[in-house]
Amino acid sequence: MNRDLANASDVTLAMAISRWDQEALAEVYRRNAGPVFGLARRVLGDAAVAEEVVQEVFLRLWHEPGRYDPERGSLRTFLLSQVHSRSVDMLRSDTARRQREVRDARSTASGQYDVEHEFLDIAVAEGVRDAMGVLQPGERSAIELAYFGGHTYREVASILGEPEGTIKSRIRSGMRRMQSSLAAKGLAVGKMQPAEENP
Amino acid sequence: MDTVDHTEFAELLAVYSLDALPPDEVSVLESHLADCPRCRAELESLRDVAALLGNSGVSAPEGTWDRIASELGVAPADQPVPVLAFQSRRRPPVWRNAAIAVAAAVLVVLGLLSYRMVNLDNRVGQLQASLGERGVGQLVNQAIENPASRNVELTAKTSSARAHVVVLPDGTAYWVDDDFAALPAGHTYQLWALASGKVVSLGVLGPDPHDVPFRVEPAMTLLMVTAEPAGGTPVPTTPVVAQGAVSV
Repeated sequence: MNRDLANASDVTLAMAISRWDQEALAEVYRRNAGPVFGLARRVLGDAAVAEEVVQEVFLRLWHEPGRYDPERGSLRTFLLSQVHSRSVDMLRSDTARRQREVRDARSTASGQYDVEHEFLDIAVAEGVRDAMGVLQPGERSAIELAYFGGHTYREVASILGEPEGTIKSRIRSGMRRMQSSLAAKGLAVGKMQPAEENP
Repeated sequence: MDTVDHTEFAELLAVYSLDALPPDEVSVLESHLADCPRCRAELESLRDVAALLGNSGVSAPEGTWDRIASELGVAPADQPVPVLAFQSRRRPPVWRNAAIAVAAAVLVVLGLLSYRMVNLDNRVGQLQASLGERGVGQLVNQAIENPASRNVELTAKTSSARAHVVVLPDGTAYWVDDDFAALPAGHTYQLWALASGKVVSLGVLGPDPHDVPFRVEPAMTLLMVTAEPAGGTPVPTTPVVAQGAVSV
């Protein structure tokens, strides 16, 4: 085939996938498989299981392309969101493993995020590093344990020995801080609602 | 939506965006999200932030794609296959001494093709629905303004009916508009292409088409449109309304 899919937009690729175009799915895989696998492996801590999740996520896109809404963001964001959710589901379904990881997490609750060595795109890496840098230590620990550890906020509270309400507030304030930092660099396209809710 | 709701749900949205909300709290939040566009917008923003956190630069293991691709090839029985592939099988073999078997085979193939056609249109329709009317319209305008795009005019042999299609170099194409009469309920215009000597369906356009995306492959040389029963048909069943040469 002579089609130039390498420069095709996310919308074009999604449309092609909806018409059962395997080359389009291969292009989406080529562009996104690395980060998608990286996130699954980080959450699951197991490359083999992470690979299973990656396969599942791409096959789901193949079978249900209508789940992707181009107006809501990029395919990368969609796939990362999908793989994170599925990875967390798998982690939580494995009770014994879960208990072991909660135990392990108690001794390694901070300093897990080696951003300098894990980002492909330098601009994104710098943006995310700066965004992580604006976090208070307590916010950072809570967000890392929740997102990369796959823990619920209640588990995070247990691990850090803090009240659940405190953890919810820290995640909330930390995400706001990061969003502002990323938005200032043009990296997060969404708009947050005004900070202190309604008048 | 009252103040209490937003204050209360604001913290939950951030937790939810990290997939860190316990299952027993998820349903409460999701029912609120269903009715609150403001919270949905905020959640999207938070998910953008989360995705950036997860955007690492590792490589997937070798062989992963091969395993995915092998799953695409062994689809279940009700799995539609690419339009070009299934259209190439639309003429079953004819055996002189097996007329009954042939008739049965034709019915099976046509039935399967009809099913697949409906599924194909459902898939495309889902994406079109998610794009939304405004989204497709913007894409059509961008395509028309793109200096690399080409306009294709479909014309009729026996009337003045015309349709305007725009095609981008990567094969992305849009049915822009036409002056066709709107079809009655239960009918749809359906787009076809001639590709390597075979007529293949590019999907249904609706009874009064405008801003419909589709895809042109390099092998396609002619676009044609017919009026068909709603849902489309595996092969054209009515005369061509209009046609025009195309290439990518």
